[in-house]
Parts: sequence; structure tokens; C-alpha cells
Amino acid sequence: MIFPLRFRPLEVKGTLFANDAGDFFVGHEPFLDRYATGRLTPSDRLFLERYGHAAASEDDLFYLSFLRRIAARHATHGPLRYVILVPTLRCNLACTYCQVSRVAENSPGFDWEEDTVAAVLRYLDNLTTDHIKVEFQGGEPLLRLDLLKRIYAFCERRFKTAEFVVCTNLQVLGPEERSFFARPNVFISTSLDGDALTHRKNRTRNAEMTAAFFENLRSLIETVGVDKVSALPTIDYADPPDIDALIAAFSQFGLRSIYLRPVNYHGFARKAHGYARDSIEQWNGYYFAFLERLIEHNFTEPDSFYEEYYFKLCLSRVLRAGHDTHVDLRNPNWLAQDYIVIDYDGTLYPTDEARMMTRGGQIDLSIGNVQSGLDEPKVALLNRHAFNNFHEDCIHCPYQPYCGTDLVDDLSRYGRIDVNKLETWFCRRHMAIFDRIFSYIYSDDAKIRFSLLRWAGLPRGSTAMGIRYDDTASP
Amino acid sequence: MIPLRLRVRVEGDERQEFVVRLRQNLAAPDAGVDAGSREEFDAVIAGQLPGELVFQTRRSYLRIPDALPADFDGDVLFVDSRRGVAHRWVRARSAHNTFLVTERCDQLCIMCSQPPKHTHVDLFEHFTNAALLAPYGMELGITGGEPTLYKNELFDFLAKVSAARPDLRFHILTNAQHFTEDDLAVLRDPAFRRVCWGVPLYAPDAKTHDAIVAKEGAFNVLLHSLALLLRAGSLVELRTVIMRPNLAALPDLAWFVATHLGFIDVWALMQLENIGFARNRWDELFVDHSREFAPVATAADIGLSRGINVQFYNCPLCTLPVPYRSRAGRTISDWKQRYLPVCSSCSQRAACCGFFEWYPQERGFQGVNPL
Amino acid sequence: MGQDISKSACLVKIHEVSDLFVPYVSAAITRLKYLHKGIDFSFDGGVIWAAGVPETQCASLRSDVAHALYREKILQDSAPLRQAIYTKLLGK
Repeated sequence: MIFPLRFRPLEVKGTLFANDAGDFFVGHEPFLDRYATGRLTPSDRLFLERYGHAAASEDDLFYLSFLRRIAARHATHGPLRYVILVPTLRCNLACTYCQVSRVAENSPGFDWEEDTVAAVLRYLDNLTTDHIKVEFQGGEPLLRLDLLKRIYAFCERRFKTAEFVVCTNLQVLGPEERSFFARPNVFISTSLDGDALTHRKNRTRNAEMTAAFFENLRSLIETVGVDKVSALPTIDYADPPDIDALIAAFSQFGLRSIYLRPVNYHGFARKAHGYARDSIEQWNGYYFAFLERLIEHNFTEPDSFYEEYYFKLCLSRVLRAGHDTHVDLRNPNWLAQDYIVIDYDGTLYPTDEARMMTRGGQIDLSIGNVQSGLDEPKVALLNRHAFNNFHEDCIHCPYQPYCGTDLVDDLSRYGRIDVNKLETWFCRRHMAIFDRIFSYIYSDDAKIRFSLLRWAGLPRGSTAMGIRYDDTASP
Repeated sequence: MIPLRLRVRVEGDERQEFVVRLRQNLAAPDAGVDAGSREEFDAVIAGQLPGELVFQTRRSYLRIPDALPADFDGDVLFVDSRRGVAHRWVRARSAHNTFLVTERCDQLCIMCSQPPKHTHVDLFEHFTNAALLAPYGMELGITGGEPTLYKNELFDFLAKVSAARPDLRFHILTNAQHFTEDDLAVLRDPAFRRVCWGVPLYAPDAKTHDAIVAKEGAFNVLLHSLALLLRAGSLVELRTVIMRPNLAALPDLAWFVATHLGFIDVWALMQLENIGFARNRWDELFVDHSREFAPVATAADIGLSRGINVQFYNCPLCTLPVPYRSRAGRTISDWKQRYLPVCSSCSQRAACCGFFEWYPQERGFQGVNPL
Repeated sequence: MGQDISKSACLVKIHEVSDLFVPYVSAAITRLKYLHKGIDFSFDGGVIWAAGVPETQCASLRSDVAHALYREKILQDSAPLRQAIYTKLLGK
């Protein structure tokens, strides 16, 4: 039996074929014709069986291992073990793209009340997991360092292991903050939008605040080490930073992993910025120009080797099953199962994006309250769309096993989830990334191979990572 | 070389063979030795004479020449009174203890390190006793010949021992030629979560693999067994010895492993051991991977790219390119392991497997050098 | 209604459908209409026709139509196998 193949032309290299488990090869049109018309040759069949696209019977190793590979491609979820906590919505900055997820620093009524804190602790206490990851968001979480410490202390007592991430703008870094950050299981995530000019334009607005941030970041990395700190740029692709300046901004801090994130405007802000249909073209244009620049840089300066985090994640997902920890890219993308968001007022949300959307007034994606519990029927409704396997567009797509689904992103951009997938931002972004990944996998260019093989985690990188079926040689 | 056989004298015991655990004293067990005493099997030091240590069992005296009290504390011996020999089946302070359960085998691998014999002596009862006396948390190796030629006895042994000693783990070498559908229920038993099957596969095609194991049809049977082990959720260590006959096929084998055997826990690429059949065939079989690493690298990279846990067994660190060294461990059993004189100035000795006792230096790796 | 002069003013013969693929034409055309808004596909006399095709797109459209037929056939023919696979995986 021949397993079903999805196919897609791959520029000048041929046609890419992939099965439901994500095993892939490049072949040519004559093979496609033979496959589609049921005229496969013995050589074709031998090739297909060898590389995981066929089996003789339902009892044999090739069939059973195919099933195992398909199963491995599906994200499982354990007990709830990752919580995003928003102890305050107040913030000491007013970044241009953060329209709805913050209020002014001295606004009353936007912090956890004492009974909310108690409810959060009860909620955590009732979890069944032994290991917990806590991410503090906001607003600016450091404005309530006291609450962070209380959560920290509780989790250290309650769980076997605990890991904390503080998502902070790092405008304030006093002795108390430093002491908190020095703890071995506390990690820091901050925004670094580029050079001082860009960062200031987007976030800090004046020279003094900008300088303070840069000094704090430098000092923090020096103290706790670069492995505890991650800095993410938010890119306004309508007016993006110069690529070399962006790389240089990261380089000066010894940060080698850059996760390029596009600005995502919500609700009224989207209209205000003239959010155009072809914005994905703008984004993809900038993104791949950045990637190409990294490849150039890595080849000429191998000692300062860079990766773009999301490209590397997608590459990992192409080559191997099991890379499901990035919650926005996995299939099925179960919501409210292994992670959840608890807002400043105790409201529960499936994702941070969902929280921001709800605040923008487009739609109510809340799924309960930390006091009263989870809204199970609503969660079940959301999870009816957790799989991409049988979506009418995804079922034809060779990238389906590596891709995912993002309900909330579709809602945020289109107000509905049943638009043509191929026209959605999510699909067009990922289709472009996977197209580029396969173009690189089948490239002979030395510079591309240099970076690609290292991003794939291979020690030497001499090897072809993809199979080619040269069927012109077969009788 | 650590001797695994001792000359002994037994007095006052009519049994021809028996298992015994040696204890320095019963009141204060040494760290790592199971504190539980099995009276019937424990032997404690009765006295020390010049040139001889005397142990007292419940029934007899056991005299071991040239032994010091600390030498064998916690060790489990299989004593053959008639021949005056004791086999050190479990050395309490070693991680490398193996039970040779049979010398019969239905394959005749061209590099076999333990050439088979036609006779079989059933010692499973003694192996069971010995296992029950092993130190806490120990991993015991089971080898042959082919252990699953006595599959029922083996499964009984595993059932008995794991019920009484859930802390023990087993590593069983098998050619996987004798598993059947009926074994599935047994293999799925939770006890088998502590069993790792070491299964050899030499090539992705029947012709090459069958020629190496000298058994026609072996490859096809092996694939069926691997399917069974997959269904059983078994722990599998796939083993491939790097030799001249399969060197060129390693990359293709890597695609095979990466595609169809993704469920395995380890893929061990192993160097040849100069013992048994390999001894007379060394020159035709040995591949100096310190000089010819390309096909090995390609195979390793293919496996690694697909998430296979590729490991190098019995490969000295200096013979591997730097990026692969983290995947090589101390895999040569202590009792047959040595270092070369040139290793004395090497900074990586502690992490390196070194060489087999019988490694032929003049016909071995050209790339040996202290790191 | 006026026609864009860069598009063909009449029906373009896109693809002759062999007997093997006739059962899948309907599904293929549905999908093609979904993917190519503004182009009207029809099936007549064993041929798939398209109206409103820009000149520049004719060649790629021929390929798209052939591939759409392939995909629908592969999808439908493999449905039993997919069903068997997922049934086995879900343990039902």
C-alpha cells in the first residue's frame, strides 16, 4: 500500500512530496504523473517503501513505524504546568504597539486584589504537576515585585521544580530586582527593538529612558550571564529597523539568538495604522532579507554565529517530531490544557493574545475566573478547532505535519476562523517559512549549508538532509 | 585485566555448584551492598591466614588465596567446587556485570566475540539466586550465545527477579530471531520497563546483513521482531559494528534507522573487538575510523538530524572528530579494558573508553594521540 | 459587463480529462473556484474550461488544474487508508 502524498512545486528544484508523518523527498513531474495515475514502476515502489511512503501489509514494520511517526507528530499535553500571570496591568512605559495591554503607572484598580492573590495560590495549589513554569507578564510585572516574590516562595515550597520568567521592560533595575533575578531558576525576557533610535521610537520615547534601559540590560547580562536573559525585538514592518543595525544591537550584548516578532495590532489600533491586506508581504520581505543577512554574516564571521529563533524552530519541526513546546505552533493546539493565563482581575484566558484581544473589545475569549474556575464548555468549543489535519486546505498541504493552527490569531485579524486558510496571515507566514526551509535543505550553496546545518544541530554538516528521487534514472 | 575467575577451595559442602555472596561482616554492610541478608547465601569472613582468606557459609568454608578482606565485599560468586573455581558473577563495585546464560547460538556472526558452542548448561536457577543478591539499583547484563534460545527460562528469570528486586535493571543482548506474537503480552509487562534489548543490525538490506550474521533470512525475521518490540513499547539499543563489509552501507542504514526505527532509545555505532572470530579476520574486517570517518559521519548526521540518539561505543575519544566526542562514553567493560602507554599524558582519560585488553596496537588506529 | 482586455474574452480550454479522473472533476472544480476567485471553471465534453483567465496565467493555470485533479483523486482514493490509520492510532 502506498501512503498518501501531498505535493508542492519547489522552485527550480523539482516537486516536494511529503506524507502525513512529515517524511519528505523531492521528485519530478513524471513521477507525480505516475503516482497520480496509478502507474508506479517497481523502482518507484522500492523507493517509496525504503523512505517510509509505502508498506507491504498492516503487520509489517514499515506500516507500524509509519503509524508511530504520525502519532509522534501530534502534540500531547500533560497536566497544566505553565501559567502566565499578570499581577498588574500598570506600566511605566507606553510602547507604540502596546495599545491595550497596559494602563498608566498610577492607575488604581489594575492590580491583583488580595482575594485574587489568595485564589491564584489556591489555583496553583490544586495543580497536579510536580514541575511548574511561571511567566510574569503585564503591564510591567516588576511594579509588583512583592507579588512576584510571593508567588516564587509559594511555588518553591509547593512544587518539586519551578522555573520563572519575568517579562519586563527593564526600565528599573534596583538592588531588589537584581537580587530576584540572581536566583538560579529566574529568567528574564525583555524587548530590544534594535539600536537606540529604534528602541526609543517604539518604546522608551526619550533619551534618558533609552539610556537607562540599555545600561540595565548590559549590567544585567554582565551579572547573571547571557543564558538567563532573552531579548526579543518587535518589528514594525511598515517602518522596520535597518537589518545590520538590528544585528549589531544584539551583538553588543552577546545575544546570539534573535526571535523576530512582527507587531500585531489589535482592534482600533489596527485601523489607525492602516493595516493593509498585503502586510504579510511586507513582513515576509523583511523577515527573509534578515535571514539572508544572517546567513551572510555567519559565513564570514563564524565565531559570532546567529540564529533566528522561529526559523530554527520550524526547521526542527520539519526534521523531527516532538518539538511542541512553542505553544503557538503545534498540532493539535489544545487550549487551556497545559498552560493558561491569569489576568490582573483573576480572569482566565487561553493565551496572552486572547487576553489582549478581549481587552480590545473585539471578542470575549475569557474562559473563566481563578475564583470560580474554568468555563469547560467554552474551552471545549474552542478546542473543536485544535487540529489542522482535516481542514480542507491543510489536508492538501505537505507542510501540515510541521505546522499548527492558531484560532486566536485568525480571530484577531479576521474576526472569524473560517476564512480561506491560504489567505490568512498565519498560513502565508508559515508557508513562506517552510518554502524557504525546503529551498535551503535542497540547496548546494555553501553559505546556506553552513548556517542551515548548524541550525539543525548537526555536528559536522557534511550531509544531505533531504532525499531526492531522481526518477529519470529508472527504466 | 581484572580476573573474573578465582581459584578456591571448598570444605564441608557436598554441593557441586552453588551461589554465594561474600561479606566482610554482616553487621556493617559496605556502602552500595544490599543491606538485606539472605542467610542461605551469605558468607562472612571467618579468618585471615597468610596467603589465604577464609569465608564461612552456613554449610562450609570457602578459601580464597591471596585475597584481602575488602577485595570481594558484596561480590556474588558462582562456585564450582569440583573444579575448585569461583566465577565472579557480580562484582559489587563494578558497573559491568554480565550473566552468560548460554553458549548456544543460531547465528554465526563473522566477528563474533563469543563463538558459540553446541552444548548448554542450564544455570538459570543459580542466575536467579545471584541476581537477588546483587547490590541495590544495579544493571545486570544478560548475554550468550543467544539468550532467547531459552526464552521461557529467561522470561521466568526476569519475572522472578523483577518481582523481588524492582530496583534492578537488565541489558539483554539478543539477535531478536525468536520473538513471536505470543510474547507481546509478556513484553508489555511493566517489569520490562527495566529491560533494554541490545539488538544488532548491520545493514539496511537482507543480503549484507544476512552475510554478516551468517544466517539466511535473519534480516526479515529481525524486522518482524523489531515491529513486535515497537508494539510492545520496549527499550531498544540498536547495535551496529563498523566493519569493512558494512562501512559503505552505513549512510543507507542511517536512513533506514531514521525512517523505520525512530522508536529506539540508542543507535550504537561500535568498534570491532579483537576477540573470537574477529581475531583471525581482523585485517579484513577492521576499519580505522580515525582515518576513514566520512561514511560514519554521514550516517551519524543523518540519524542525528532525525532525532536518533546516536552513540559511539568502544571508540577512543582521540579517534573521533571533536564534534562527535560528546557521544562517546566509557563503554568497554572494566575487566577487559586498558589504556596505551601514550594515554598517560592524555587529559581525557577519565571520559574515554580506552581500548580492549586484546587491542592489536600495531594493526589498529593510526590516529591515537593524547588530548 | 465589460471584460478586462488582458483576459481572454472567451472560454479557454484548460485540460482534457481522461476517464480515470472524471469522477474527481466536480470536487476539483469546487476547489479551483475556491482557490482562483474571479475565474469561472466548467466541465463540458470531457474538458475543463475556464473563463476570465488573464493571459499571463494560462500556463500556470493548466498546471493548477491538473494538480487539483491529482489531489482530489489522491484524497478520495486514500480515504480508506487514512481511516484505517487513525482508527488504529486512536485505539477504536
